[in-house]
Amino acid sequence: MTPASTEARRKAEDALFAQLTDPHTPDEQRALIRDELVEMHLPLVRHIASRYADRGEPMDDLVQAGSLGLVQAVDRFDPSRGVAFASFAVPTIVGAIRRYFRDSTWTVKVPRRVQESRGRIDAAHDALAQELGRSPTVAEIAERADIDEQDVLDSLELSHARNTRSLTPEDDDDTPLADRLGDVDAALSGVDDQETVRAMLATLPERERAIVTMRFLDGMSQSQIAERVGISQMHVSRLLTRSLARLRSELSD
Amino acid sequence: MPHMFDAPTTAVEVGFPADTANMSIARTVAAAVAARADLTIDQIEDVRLAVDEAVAYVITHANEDTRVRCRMWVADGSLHAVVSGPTSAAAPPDLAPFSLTVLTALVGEVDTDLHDGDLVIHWSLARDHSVNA
Repeated sequence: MTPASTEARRKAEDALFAQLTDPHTPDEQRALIRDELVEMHLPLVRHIASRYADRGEPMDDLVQAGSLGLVQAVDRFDPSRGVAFASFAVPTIVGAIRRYFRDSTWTVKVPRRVQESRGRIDAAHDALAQELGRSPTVAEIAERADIDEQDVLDSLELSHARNTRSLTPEDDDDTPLADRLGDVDAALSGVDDQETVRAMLATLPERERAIVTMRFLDGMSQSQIAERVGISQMHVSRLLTRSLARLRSELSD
Repeated sequence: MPHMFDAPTTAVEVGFPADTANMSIARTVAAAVAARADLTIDQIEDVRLAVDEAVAYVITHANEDTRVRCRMWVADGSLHAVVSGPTSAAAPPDLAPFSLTVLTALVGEVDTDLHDGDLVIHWSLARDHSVNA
């Protein structure tokens, strides 16, 4: 992405926020502007969601949770502060995804005492956050919940492994690196402009385009795609590798 | 910029093959170090994410079948992380745009460098508890 196009995007974004925060803007237009700002920044949500992709939760749910955070950020952003919106939005998006993990139930088998502690830890965490006006430390939670610090840390760690699948690495040796990092960026580096991405995908033959879309925009696994398309997972892997190579060479032109 | 070799003897180090399957191990160690550094829960989670980004960067550009090393230590009221791995790149590659956005939003300054054939990335997070997430 050239500095000129970054500049152009930034200007367009600034104009949208100016309209959004202008009290004279009619409500229906405000809603449209909000939608457009959210759409512009969905790739950032996908990138952040992909950092949590190996914890056994469907990418769709992670992206949805992150998108809620994005909407909150759009509503809260004050353009006069001089901070770039993307940077401002990151903690809110991240927070929304963390809340998603925290609120979903554990399915991994944990020792009973750990399950029991979790309730006390959560309660201590919430009480302290309220009282201190900030996130508490492990030591503070341990003291309030009357639990060993290491147990608090273990509980925190286990809350990142929602099911056994995320505790065992996937046997996907033929997966291209960009694929496993779950990061569209690695494959389509520097391009976060939706129009350009769509134009590029259009250069791929229909089946390859569908597979790349399923993998990177819908977050499906190779096995799921294989099942959907009716070919082997190995074949999906080869097609993806070929398509990504093609897209990369397209980009470097 | 601090390097692996500037890390104090109090630094915690984890090394592993440059494979994405090992990223969760790096995150776990990073969280343990952050907890010991008395960071808040939110900061610990940010550290997890930031180490994840740094390790992903090194794995992406490291040579095949090599090891990644991650060192972390506390100095000047900040938690420092340095991740490195052997590379044949002639200059430190740019971070992917979103990775840079996420890192600078969560931990502030990020530096990349080449040192003796290793690609090195460094970031630090201030321990200040008064900062609201």
